[in-house]
Amino acid sequence: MTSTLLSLASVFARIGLGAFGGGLATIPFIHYELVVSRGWLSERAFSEVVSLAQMTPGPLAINAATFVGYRIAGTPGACLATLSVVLAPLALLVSFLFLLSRAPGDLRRGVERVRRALRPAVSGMLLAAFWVVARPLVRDWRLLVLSALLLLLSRTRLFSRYPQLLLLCAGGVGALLF
Amino acid sequence: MLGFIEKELRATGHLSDEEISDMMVLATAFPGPVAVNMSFLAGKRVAGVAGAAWAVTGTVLPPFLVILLLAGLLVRYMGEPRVSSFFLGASCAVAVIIGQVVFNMARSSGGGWRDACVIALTAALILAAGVHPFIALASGVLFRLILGGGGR
Repeated sequence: MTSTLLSLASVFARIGLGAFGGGLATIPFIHYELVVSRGWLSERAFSEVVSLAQMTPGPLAINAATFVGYRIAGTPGACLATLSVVLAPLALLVSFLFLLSRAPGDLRRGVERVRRALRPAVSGMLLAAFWVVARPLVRDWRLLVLSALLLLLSRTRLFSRYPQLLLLCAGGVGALLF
Repeated sequence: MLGFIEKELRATGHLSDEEISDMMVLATAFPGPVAVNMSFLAGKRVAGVAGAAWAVTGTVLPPFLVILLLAGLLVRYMGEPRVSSFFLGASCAVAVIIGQVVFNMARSSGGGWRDACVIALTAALILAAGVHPFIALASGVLFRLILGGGGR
């Protein structure tokens, strides 16, 4: 049990430290750590976790940490995974702020340069995230038809304002048809 | 999400627009959920270390509790065929949403061919070469710095 908790903490600390550029760009990290490297989740379970995390409020990495932590080691696992995913990157930010208070000018310019260089790399992560999620869907033409319909729906005002609603409708259709 | 955080922070009246945009730069340049980073920075600015701890708790606790409440049910029912089909349908919507984000990013990217090369390299390293995403991301950033030139 202790070793499970320790590996939960280290996996989610790594996911937190990789969570550049917002929620969806974290998907390749979560996929790599939980599916490819650890085998804690099957491809199917992974896509369920991502959908769940998109349906519920809050940052994707936190939702995923709480749920996967709970699944693997109950409530203590949920607490530990969530703390790890939040505290690891915060520790990095705190140490950087400390440095920044000592040598502001150069570091500030450095941050700006790295941030600019991060943008296309994060777009690449998003592209990878898209394929990780879409890959299991392209094998079934019914799912492709549903996705095409959802794409049209998502452009209406109601669904572009409330994307969670789109997920719920898609889920409802899925539960009825498949 | 970013726009929402910005609006809410401005509405509190504790922070100037410049402070908010400085925080946004730091929050997005560093890893970790942007909402958590922002709540840490804003909390610290307004009420010191206690403020930071309080603000981060406020950001993390609601999603944590929502998932914890649902988790017991979900772990029990996730194998059920109906529940599986529900999530299968929902993942179509997730793919559509991510696809749109990618499309919008590609369209609004001001860096031209350099950015396109970096996007392709980063995605290919993950999808085709199967390297750890850290390595893919770091290679992408390095490659972008080496290419130099324009970009926003």
